[in-house]
Order: sequence, then C-alpha cells, then structure tokens
Amino acid sequence: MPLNYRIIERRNLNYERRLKFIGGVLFLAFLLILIKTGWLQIIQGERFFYLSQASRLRLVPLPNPRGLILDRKGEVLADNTASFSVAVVPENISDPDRLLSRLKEVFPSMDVEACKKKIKRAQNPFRPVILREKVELSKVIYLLEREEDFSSAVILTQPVRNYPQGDLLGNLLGYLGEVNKKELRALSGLGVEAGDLVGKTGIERMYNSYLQGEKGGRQVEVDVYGRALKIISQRDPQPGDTLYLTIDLEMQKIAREEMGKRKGVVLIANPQTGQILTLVSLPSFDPNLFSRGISEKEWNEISSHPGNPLENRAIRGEYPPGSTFKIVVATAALEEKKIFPESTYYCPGYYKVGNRVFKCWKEGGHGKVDLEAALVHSCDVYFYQLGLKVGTEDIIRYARLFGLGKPTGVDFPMEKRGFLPTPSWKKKTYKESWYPGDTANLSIGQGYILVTPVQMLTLVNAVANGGYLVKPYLVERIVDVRGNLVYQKTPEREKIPVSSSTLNFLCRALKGVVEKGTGWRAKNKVVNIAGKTGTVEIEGSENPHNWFIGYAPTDNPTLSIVVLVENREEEISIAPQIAGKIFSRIFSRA
Amino acid sequence: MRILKKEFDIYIIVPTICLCLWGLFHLYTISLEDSYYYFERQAIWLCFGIFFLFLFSFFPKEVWSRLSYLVYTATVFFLVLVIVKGSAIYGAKRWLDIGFFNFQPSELAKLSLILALSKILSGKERIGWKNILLSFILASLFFFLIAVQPDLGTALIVFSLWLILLFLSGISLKSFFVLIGTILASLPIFYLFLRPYQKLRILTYLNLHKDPLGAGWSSLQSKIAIGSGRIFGKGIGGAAHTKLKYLPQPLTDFIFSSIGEEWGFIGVSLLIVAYVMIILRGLSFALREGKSFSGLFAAGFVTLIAVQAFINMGMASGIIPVTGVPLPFVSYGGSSLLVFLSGTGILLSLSREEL
Repeated sequence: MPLNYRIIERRNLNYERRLKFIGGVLFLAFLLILIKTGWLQIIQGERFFYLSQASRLRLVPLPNPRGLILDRKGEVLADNTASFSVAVVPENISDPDRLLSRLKEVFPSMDVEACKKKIKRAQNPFRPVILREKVELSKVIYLLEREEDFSSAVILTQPVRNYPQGDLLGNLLGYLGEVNKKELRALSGLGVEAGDLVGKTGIERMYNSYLQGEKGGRQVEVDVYGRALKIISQRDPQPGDTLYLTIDLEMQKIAREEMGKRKGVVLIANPQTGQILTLVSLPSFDPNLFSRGISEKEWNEISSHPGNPLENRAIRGEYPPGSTFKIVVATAALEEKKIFPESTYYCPGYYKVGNRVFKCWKEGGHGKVDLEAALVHSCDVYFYQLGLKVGTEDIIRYARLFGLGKPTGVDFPMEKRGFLPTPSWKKKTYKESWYPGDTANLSIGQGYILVTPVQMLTLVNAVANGGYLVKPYLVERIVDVRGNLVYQKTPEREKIPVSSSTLNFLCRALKGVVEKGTGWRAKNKVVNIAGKTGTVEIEGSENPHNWFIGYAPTDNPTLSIVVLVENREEEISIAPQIAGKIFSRIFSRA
Repeated sequence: MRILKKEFDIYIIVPTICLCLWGLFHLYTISLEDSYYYFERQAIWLCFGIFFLFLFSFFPKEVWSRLSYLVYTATVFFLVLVIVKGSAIYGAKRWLDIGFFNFQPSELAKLSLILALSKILSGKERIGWKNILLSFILASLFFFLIAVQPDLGTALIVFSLWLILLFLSGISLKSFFVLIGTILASLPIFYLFLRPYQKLRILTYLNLHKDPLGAGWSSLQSKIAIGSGRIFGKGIGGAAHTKLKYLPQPLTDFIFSSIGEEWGFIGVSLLIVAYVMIILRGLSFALREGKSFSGLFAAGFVTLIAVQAFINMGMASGIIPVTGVPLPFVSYGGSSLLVFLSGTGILLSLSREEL
C-alpha cells in the first residue's frame, strides 16, 4: 500500500510539474509579445507614427522575367524582351487631374476619363496601374528628364514574352494572358495577383508556377515632393525557372516542313522513354500575337478559324483510329487464343453481318489471307470475322491495356481521354442493343471509338519497346536561375501483360506493312520502317483522315512516329509517305 | 451577488466578456461609415455565444465526459460533410452554409478534440502505448480531415493540442521524445514523396499570405500601425493607418494591429492581462483538479486560447511569419467566437462550486 501510494503521489507531482512548465512557457510567450509591442510603440513609436502620416512610403515594383523555355539542346523556344510602360500607384497620386493632363500633353491619344476610371477601380492601392503600354524610348527619356512634373508616375520596364520560333510551336507552348477571376482564386496562394500575366494554355500554363518566378519590390521613404529619401526594404525579383523540353527543334522543323499546309499531327518520340521529340499540330498560331497585345481583329481571326489553330490536336484531338486499331484486335485474338497466326479467312471483298453487308476497302477482295497478311494488307473482311470471334469485351479490354480510353498522363493541360464504346454505354445513350455490326465496325477502328494521337503514340511505343506502356512527356528538366536542378523527369513505364511471341508477331507484321503492304509509301533508302496505316472514312462528302503509326529502325527502334492527316486532299495514302520522308531526313542527318 | 460569485468563476467570466465586448466595439470603430455589416453580424453571434456560454455553464459537470465521444463523432460528420459539399472560399473548402451563416467545422474540431482526448487520457494510472495509439487515431483523423480542406494551419494546431495533452497526461518523457522524434523523422520522408508543385502548395495550405510586392509589405504595415499607436494610442476611431485597404484581413488576422494603433501600449497591455487572467485561472483550476477529465480539459482549453492568441499577436507584431489564425474572443468570425464561448461555458460548468 505505502509503495503504491508513493507512486501515485509521484505521478501527481509529475503532472503538477508539467502543468507549471506549460504555464511558464506560455508566460514567456506573452512576455515576448509585450516586449515586442513595447519596442514598436515606445522605442520606435515616434518613427512609426511619422511613417503612418500621409503617404511617406512608396512601393516601387521590380518586375521579374519569366523563365525561359528551351528545347532539349538548349535552343530558345521562349524568352523575354523589354517593353516600357507608364503607370501610377494610386496611393501616391496627390493630384490626379493635373498629372493626367500633363501626361495627355505627352501622349495626345490618351483617354483621360478611362484612365481616371482605371485608377479609381484599382483594388490594391499600392499596385501600379498601367496607363500606357509600349511607350517609345524617346518618350521614356522625356518623362524621366522632367521627373519633378511627373513625380507620381512610374516607368515600368516590363519583360515581354517572345517566341523566336513563331507559330512552329504555338499550340504546344501556349500563350500568356491576364489572369482571370477563376484562375486568380486557384493561384492567389502562389503569389499571383490581379493584372498578372499567366500561361493560358499549353506548357506556359502547365508549368506556370515554375515559369512565373517571384516579383520583387522596394519600399521607399519619400519626402513631400515624392523624391526617394531612402530604401526601407527591398526584395529582389526572382526570375522564373528554365524549362528544358524534350522537343528537338531540328526534328520539329523537319516534320513541319513535310506536313506543308496540311491539317493534322506529327508526333515523334523515343519509344523506350516516352520523351516527345516532335509535336506538330496544324494549323497553328503565333503566340507572339498575344504577348504584344492581340488586336480584336487578330483574335477574331484566330478564334473563328475553322481549323481551330489554338487547339493542340496531338493531345486534345479525338479521332477514330481506323485500321491502326487492328493491332489491338490482333493482339486480343492471339493472347486469348481465339486464333492461330496461320488461320485463314477468305475475303471476297465483302462480309455479311446479319443482313448488313460490310465491304473490304479492296474491291474484289484479298482472297485467302492469314493474320499476318491481313495486317500487312489491312484486310477488313478478315478483321470483321476475327473481331466477332474475339468479342467486344476482349477487344475493349486489350484497348485499355494499350492505354486507350484514358489519359496518357502527358504533362499538358486538359488532355482528352478518347472514348471506348461498350454495349452498356450504347444501351444507356441510344436505348439500343449492341449489334454484331457494331463489333464489326469496332474491329476496323470505326464507329463510336475515339482516340487521341498521343494515345496512338503510346500504343505504337509499346509495340516498339517490347510491351511497355511508357508515359509520354514534354518537359525533361527544370533548372533555376542559379543553375540548380529543380526537377528532373524520370521515365515511367509499366509492362503490359502481352506475351513476347505476340509482340514478335506484331513487329514482323508491321515490318511487312511497309515492305510490301499498305504502308509502302514510307519505304526509303535510309532507314527501315515498320508501322500501320489507317484510313478513317467520314460520313458525308468530307475527305478521309489518314493515319500512320510506326517506328524505326525496325530491328532496334530508336524513334516512333504518329502521323495524322486530317481530311487528306490527296487520293493516295499520304501519311506513310510523310512519315517516310521525315524519318529518312532525320536518320540521314545522324 | 454572493451566490453568483460562489457559482461561477468570475475571474474567467469577466475577462472573457470584456474581451468579447471590446472586440465588438473595436469592430465598430474601425468599420467604414455606412458599413456596419460586420459589426452587426458579430453582435448577433456574440448574443448567441453568450447564450451558449451560460447554457453550458449550467449543465451538470458529469455530462461533459459522457458527451465527449458524441461531440467527437458529430464533428467528424461535419468535417466529412464540409469536404463533400462545403463551399469553397479562396479555393479551399472550409465552410458549411447553414442558412444564417457559414459554419466552419474545423473550429469546432479543436474543442471536440480536447473533450475526447481529456476523456481518453484522464483517470489512467499509466498511459501505455495503447492509449497513446488511441489518442493518436482520434487526433490524426481530425488532422487528416482538416488538412485536406485544405487548412494545414488549423490542422497543425489540432496536432499540437494532442501533443500537449499527451504530455500532461503523464506519458513518460522517454516515450514522449520517442514520439516527437518519430514524427520529426517521418516528416522529410513524407516530404520526399511530394511533387514540387505539392511542396509549393503546402506553403499555401499553411495559409501563409504571400505578398508578392516587396519584402513583407503587410508585416511592415502592421508594425507601422501598431508602432504609430505609441503609448496612449490614437484614440477610439483613430486607426487612420488601419484603413481597410492597408492590411489583408483587417477584421480577423490583423485585428491586433488596429487595436495597437487605437489603444496604444496601454491597450495592448490590458489585452494581454485579460488573456493571462483567463489562462492563469484555467491552469490553476487544472492544478487543483489533478489529472482528471476536468483538469485536462481546463489545461487543454486555456492552452488553445494561449496558442492562438500568441500566434495572432506574434504575427501582427512581426515575431512570427504571417499566417491566418483568429484572435480568440476578439477577431471577427462566428464559428471561432461560438466555439470559444461554448468552451468557456464548459470550463465554467466544470469549475462550478457546489453550494
């Protein structure tokens, strides 16, 4: 008993001691506050009282340049040039009417009333309101020489975004614009304020937080004439980080040249890592238009352009895959053991499903074909029958394995996910059952199915690299202004459960497509290419879309490619021909 | 009057009410003309708050220990609800719209965590790993639910409440330091898994006001406001520098700046005296009650008041970086006011002397 009693006693003692300890810490904390406020109010009081009178403090913003965007070899894709503007800090203006009328003398075209409104509307009285942008150097000098007259005006040297490559990478890099209310809510914690420029689309948007850097500012104590007496504190502006893209500018130019004036997409990547070396999406636009202040006419021209040049088709365009999808159907059939590679079907040029007749693209048919020949010559009749044998469920399942129907995760804003139809979806949307005809259509990549070009890139990458789904990406590394590495991408890949015998078969068949099949126009003297063509018939009179997805060299692939020509003008299969030309130029370069 | 004195601890109730009324009056003096919107709302909340204070103080003291798990469960429910359908202000979901006002369950969470932990950790001979784990689960559930809102500032306060109550409950110093060591050691690991933009966002979660133009512009403005009050202050309504536009959140996070400006060093001292009175009274009650439910609750609650008051005043006077935490009883804000007054009501109920 006594022992136990002592233990309890000790524990209570413990509690008391700890409680007193907490009390002591809190007491010290409050004492600290009292000392600090005493320091501010008693010792520094007079000085702060003086500073609080009128506007003795001025805030001079120090703008910071946005981070650079470079290609993989350091070629400049986006940098900054300087531009001057005249602004006022609303808090500092003593006589706005006088100032504005003086400014009006210098800038006859200035709208005084509008400027007054602008100053009144300002939310933050310390933030300069820009009255006049893109001021010529001579006028800047004039204003600086008569500083006394314009003491409450400030000259801002603002960096202006510059894109030396013009429209070559427009819808990849994106453009800048003034932050809107919705974006402001999301970005306010990251130091973005109303009136700031932020990336609106593309890489500029995706990596805005790295590129924007931090604004600086200087607090200056001024005399009654507004002249600076001393700098109270200063924060240096922090330039944004530099982005190194995976893009190879030279390849990008080649691909662009070969596409000519056509609408469509070229994607070139490293199939092992997922680095995107080329991303051409046409038509494109020149982002310089936006940084220089786009005119209404120019904006209307771009936004109402039927080809939608602002969109990045490679990542946000959705198309039926056409015959390129046969790769998926063939894989499903082999993996699910629905067929042997040597099994044959007879193609008379058409196939009846129920009472509907489905045609092969080749009138008169291919005759007796096995799986390899069906891929090489892209026989539709073979795949109607194969698809019906495999079934919708397995086709969709393998499409998912290859990364279709979901975002690839590429580092680009608002990627589209494509679409894989299912019987239950059709029932829900159209109140109609899934017919065998739908399966036949799906087997040749037509009908409801939609894919994005970058999804097809991951698909062909998986064939080229031995069955790995690699995540495609555009930014290789980010370096801060002192040269420290801030971010380094490491490739992400995941094995698809497909046997190596199936993959070997696919490689052989895709090689045959270019050697002797529908992709023969890709053949060239420089490098052996493997690939698959696709032609998407569009209802109505529009010209078909034309796909080529492939890789080279065939035995040890180092580059993969996706070419999509929207509504091709030519009668021939132009996509493989473009791919062949691009690859022969790239490989003869090395 | 003698009865009242016996029944309630006037050394708690008087400074509390004084702080509330001062805060309300101060809100009135710094309101811009024709705009008493905030003042009126705060007045209504104060009425409700004082009603709750007295209502709770008349509850029998045994009730609270029994109610604590129920309150905890209800708070979890509210916190989940806020994530599911809360309204987003400044990109973070922290508020439940219940007609008259936007309720902030994370404020309630502070109080209900103190209740629940006081229950778990009280009356134990020894605090073993089982109780530590149990209390950890209770605290970390709140931490998680509040952190995802995201409001890491409040989440960290919740977390520190857990550590303080654990410390008081008599857990051996060795286990306590092992615990802190483990947590500190796991932080960098946790941080490693974050992506760069998430790290950046953590700073946002912490509710640090970034002021892009200039080095600590709002901090400097706050110091100017306080300092310019000098010893006797600029007088009632004289907070010329603390016009609404000078500081972010002048009614909540930076209310101390304008108090310093209007009331001077004298006013600041009185404010601190009022807090110290409440805190000392609470701690001495906790000392008397020992390691019981009442004792732990009292200690936890006044520590919460002290921590928040210190963070708020320390931020305004430039001791610690700028974060958003309201000044207890004084800052504008219904949820905070109601929760602190209810907590005081509970404290009064526990400390009421039997006649």
